[in-house]
Amino acid sequence: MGFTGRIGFLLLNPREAFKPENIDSRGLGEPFGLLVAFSAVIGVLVSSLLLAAVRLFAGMAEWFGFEVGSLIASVSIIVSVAVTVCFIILAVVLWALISVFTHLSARYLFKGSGRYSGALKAYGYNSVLLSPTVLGLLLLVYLPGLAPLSIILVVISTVWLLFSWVTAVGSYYNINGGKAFFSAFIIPLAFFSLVALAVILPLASTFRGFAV
Amino acid sequence: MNASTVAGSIIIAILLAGAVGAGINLSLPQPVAAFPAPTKYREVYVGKPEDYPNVKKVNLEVSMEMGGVELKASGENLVYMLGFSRKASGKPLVKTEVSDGVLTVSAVAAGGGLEILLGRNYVYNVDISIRSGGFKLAISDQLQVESLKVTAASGGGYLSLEGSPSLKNAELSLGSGGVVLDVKAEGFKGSSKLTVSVDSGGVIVKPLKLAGDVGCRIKATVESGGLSFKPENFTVVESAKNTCEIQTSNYDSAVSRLNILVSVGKGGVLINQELADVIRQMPQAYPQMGGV
Repeated sequence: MGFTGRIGFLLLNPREAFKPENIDSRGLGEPFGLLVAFSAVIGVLVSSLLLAAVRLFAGMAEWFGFEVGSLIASVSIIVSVAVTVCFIILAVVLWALISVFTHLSARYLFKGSGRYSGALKAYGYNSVLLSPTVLGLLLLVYLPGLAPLSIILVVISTVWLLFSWVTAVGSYYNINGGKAFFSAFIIPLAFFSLVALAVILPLASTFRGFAV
Repeated sequence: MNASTVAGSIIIAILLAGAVGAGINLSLPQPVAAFPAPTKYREVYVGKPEDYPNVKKVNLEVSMEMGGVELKASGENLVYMLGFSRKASGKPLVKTEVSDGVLTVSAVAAGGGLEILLGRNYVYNVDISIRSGGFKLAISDQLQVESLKVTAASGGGYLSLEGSPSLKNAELSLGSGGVVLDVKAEGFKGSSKLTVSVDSGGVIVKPLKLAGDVGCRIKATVESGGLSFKPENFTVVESAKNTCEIQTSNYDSAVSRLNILVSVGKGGVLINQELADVIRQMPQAYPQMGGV
């Protein structure tokens, strides 16, 4: 099966596509490439939207007499590159972390069979479900009037991504849907919630100290 | 070609389209967005002297739901000009009627901007009603305004007197918002009464510039809030926490008199000073706000 056939197979039959014999036989390069490609394109599109918003505020600023148009033009490429790089780094970090927690849960908590590299590959391949998000952002950049459709596409993408990721974990580790949902979603969510609390609580107490 | 290949091709096509689209968007020169956004519609109604040969007095009644009104003197010889600009559909309704040498112009608009130009050879009674929006009224040159009434439920306004205009009576009334009075009418003649009332908000009467033979009295009251005045060139008649009255020393003997009455429900009033001066004085007035 060729590259496009494999990608399509992931969408049309995820239960079969994420079976160990289909995942373990592939290298890590292809899923990693897909993850980076999708996160880079989303990063560039988001930076385009950010710059459009900045230009709107710059228009208001110029109306008030601040000449910022040339400044915006000169920093737009830097902003785009920075946002895109940030998106790629974030995607790679999430890829590694979510795969780790999913693997630990599925392999050791629920006694599934599978390797960490398999979780990484499944997650990487799963990033093709970001394509509705790409389409939604592209519409938003060129046809802002279709913003409601863009939002619908992003929501569809998110739900589909989650559903497919849970299916992939269940199929690859050979565990049932509930265990797969717990491993693929609840455990990583719990970890990120704890990290968020660990960051927010000290900050909150610091600001409370300022308020007193 | 099977279904998987088709689906995969669509995904790759979307990815490539996203990459190419984003690249094109970034490479194209993107000008800073115009602000305010350009108007889509503009209607201009002009009354020329030849259209109204026997008219000497004009009653102008304007009613707007939402938007801004700017009134000023025209450089041309005309009776009136109403220039409506808006982004949405909804054509304004303008009616004219002449009776006993008085032209009545009534305009109703849903929203947008309205520019009003008045001529110098007519006496005007202007009544502007805005539900929500702003107004900028520049009574300048030799404009003759007998009565100026502005009512706004919410918004902001600016009234300036410049040159040698005639304004007998002005009433600016706001539900919530702010009004700035800027009087620099050194050629001001006659007597004038400016009444500003704001239920909730603020009024600023900027430092006045009047000819030496013009007497001026300013009375301000605030029900709840603050009041600040600078008695420079004025004699303080009354000064209390929520009210003040100041007048020029020549007020009683002056032939031309300007009376300004300010009334604010909840809010603040600055008399005979600039807001910037008050902000500059803040570190001295309130040391705890001035930093270390």
